[in-house]
Amino acid sequence: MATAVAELIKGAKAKTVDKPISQWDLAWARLRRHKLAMFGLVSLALISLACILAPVVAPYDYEEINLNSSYLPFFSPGDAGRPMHILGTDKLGRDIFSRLLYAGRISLSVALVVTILSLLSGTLIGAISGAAGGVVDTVLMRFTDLMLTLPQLPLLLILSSSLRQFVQLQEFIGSNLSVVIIIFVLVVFGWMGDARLVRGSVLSLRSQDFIEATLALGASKMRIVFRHLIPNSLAPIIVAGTLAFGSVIIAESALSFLGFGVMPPVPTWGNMLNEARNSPLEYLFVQALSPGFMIFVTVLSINFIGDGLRDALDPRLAI
Amino acid sequence: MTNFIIRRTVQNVVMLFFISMLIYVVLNLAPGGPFDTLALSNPRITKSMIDRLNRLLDLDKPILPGKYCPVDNAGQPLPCRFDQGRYIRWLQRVIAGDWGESWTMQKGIPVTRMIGQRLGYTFLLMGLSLVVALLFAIPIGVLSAVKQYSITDYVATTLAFFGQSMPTFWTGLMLMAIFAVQFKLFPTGGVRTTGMEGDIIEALTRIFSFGKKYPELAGREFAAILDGLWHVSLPVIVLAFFNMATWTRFTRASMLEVLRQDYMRTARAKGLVERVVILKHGFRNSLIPLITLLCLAIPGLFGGAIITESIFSWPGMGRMYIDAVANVDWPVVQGLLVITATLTVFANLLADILYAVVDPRIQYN
Repeated sequence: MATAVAELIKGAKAKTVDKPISQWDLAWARLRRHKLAMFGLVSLALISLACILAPVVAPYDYEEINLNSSYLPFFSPGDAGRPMHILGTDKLGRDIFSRLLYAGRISLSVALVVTILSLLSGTLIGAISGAAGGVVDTVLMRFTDLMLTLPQLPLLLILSSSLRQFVQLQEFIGSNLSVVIIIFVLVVFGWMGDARLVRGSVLSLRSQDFIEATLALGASKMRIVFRHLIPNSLAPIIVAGTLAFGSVIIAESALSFLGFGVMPPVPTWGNMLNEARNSPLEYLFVQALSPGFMIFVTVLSINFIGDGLRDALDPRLAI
Repeated sequence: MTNFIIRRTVQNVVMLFFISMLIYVVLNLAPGGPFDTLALSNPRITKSMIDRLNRLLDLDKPILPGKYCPVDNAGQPLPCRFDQGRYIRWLQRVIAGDWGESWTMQKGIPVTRMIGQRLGYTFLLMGLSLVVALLFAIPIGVLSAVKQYSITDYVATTLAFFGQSMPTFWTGLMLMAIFAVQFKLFPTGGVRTTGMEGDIIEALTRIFSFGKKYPELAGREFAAILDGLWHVSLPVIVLAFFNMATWTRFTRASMLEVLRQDYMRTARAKGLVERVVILKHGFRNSLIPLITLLCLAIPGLFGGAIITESIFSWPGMGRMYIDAVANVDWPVVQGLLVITATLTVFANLLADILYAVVDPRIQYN
């Protein structure tokens, strides 16, 4: 009897010592049970890892030209003593598999930078708009509406083609100009959704009791926005950001595919597809299959993760 | 309601003013004009000759209203004065119906006529792909909502994810590589087989004008239409598959929402057959939110699909747009952008109005 009580007390003590379960732990527990999201996480992790480790993993250098072996099919043996061309070679005899990995570095990092920058600017604009209200809100939101109404792809084409013509910019930034331009252009057209989202959630939070309590305690407006409003609207921002990451990959590839994005020799999945399109028709299948498949798998994984996160971060749902 | 429409129309016009200004400014940010290629191809053309040509087109004036310091033909500065700017000047002409003439693609041809030539092709491609997408997406969406969490639902949802994640430039190239190059079932692009007289649009024009236009096509319309449908198949499949994803998910969500309503239970309680409950009470109400999506598809019907049209060399508005950008043909680009923006703005308004018409619970004040 006495030992049982002692154990009970010990158990209770142990329980109080345990870290409390936070919202994030709950979300993670929910996400883990979402099979598709887990599949997405694993495959995205594998793809990113392979791309980051490209110099180690890739059998060839991405710029290594071998004009004697152009347009080789899948699983072609390399020259004497060289590794196999698993996914064949392109017009200049460059190993497609190696190029895919290096291209992934550019595609993924461009998408990451664009997503982060648009999230930051969107969150800032949305938070200011929601917290300030009045004229500031009206002006910012009308501007957001205006940006949303603009035809996106057409203007992306124009913007990136006209920015490229500024010679001073070219001298200032150098050979990676097309990468910088595409990041800039995609951010310009990428922040509106986040801004609306954050504004909406700030507006709905603003009238809640804990904000009034914070105000009564004498917190400044800045503190309320950055310590209370933004952290509390984080869940929808994370979901939107994840899904945006996928659509930015598609947007960048589309621009590069059309020849208005990242320019060769820097490879991206999009401009590899552009080169595939310009290859003789009988080689089209081999040339186009793998770069597009990488885009597809990456974006699919991200969409699965986004869907899982949407469910996982919804506090109304139980585990 | 009338008040709402008037207020929104005025707002939209103001909005369009700023949108077109933004478009105009962005387009004119780029250095260079229509005569730069002239200087490249002919070394005897001097800088001052180009300047004079630019002055003829008002290209030396400021973009937005502001100070203008003209230079005469000898290069001597003249006194500065106020100028209304190129944007206002351009806007006045656009409103009056003068959309300018092509600079480079079809030099001297009015932009409106160029657009007119392309409109039918884009309309056919986009319209067909919308219809095909709806024909598949709505039944699939309804079915996967009615049988939520069933195998059908999982397959449909996964397919929708696939459709959303496959970029059209990849599906387009793959379908072309497989069905056009490998199996030779479809053509790789274009509107008609070489040697065919007349294409599908010309044949349709002839039919709808009762033989007044394209009289030379008499008796061959049917062949031309079939040939056109054969050519449009692959691009239609590409676009329909991509759109299906959105439509399926939307239909499913809307149907799920309806299935939860009390009137569904009422319909069942009064003893209606499940099929009638689902189709007459459920399905019809679930279509209401789809109206919004349908209205938002309107600008695309006219604007075309840049990527798919250029992969399959379809002579629509999307392909004309990208050619115009590549050839620095700003009047064409401006014309197309203005059309798309105008349609987008008013399609939004139309969506709001129709939404209130079909659902009397919605009121705008």
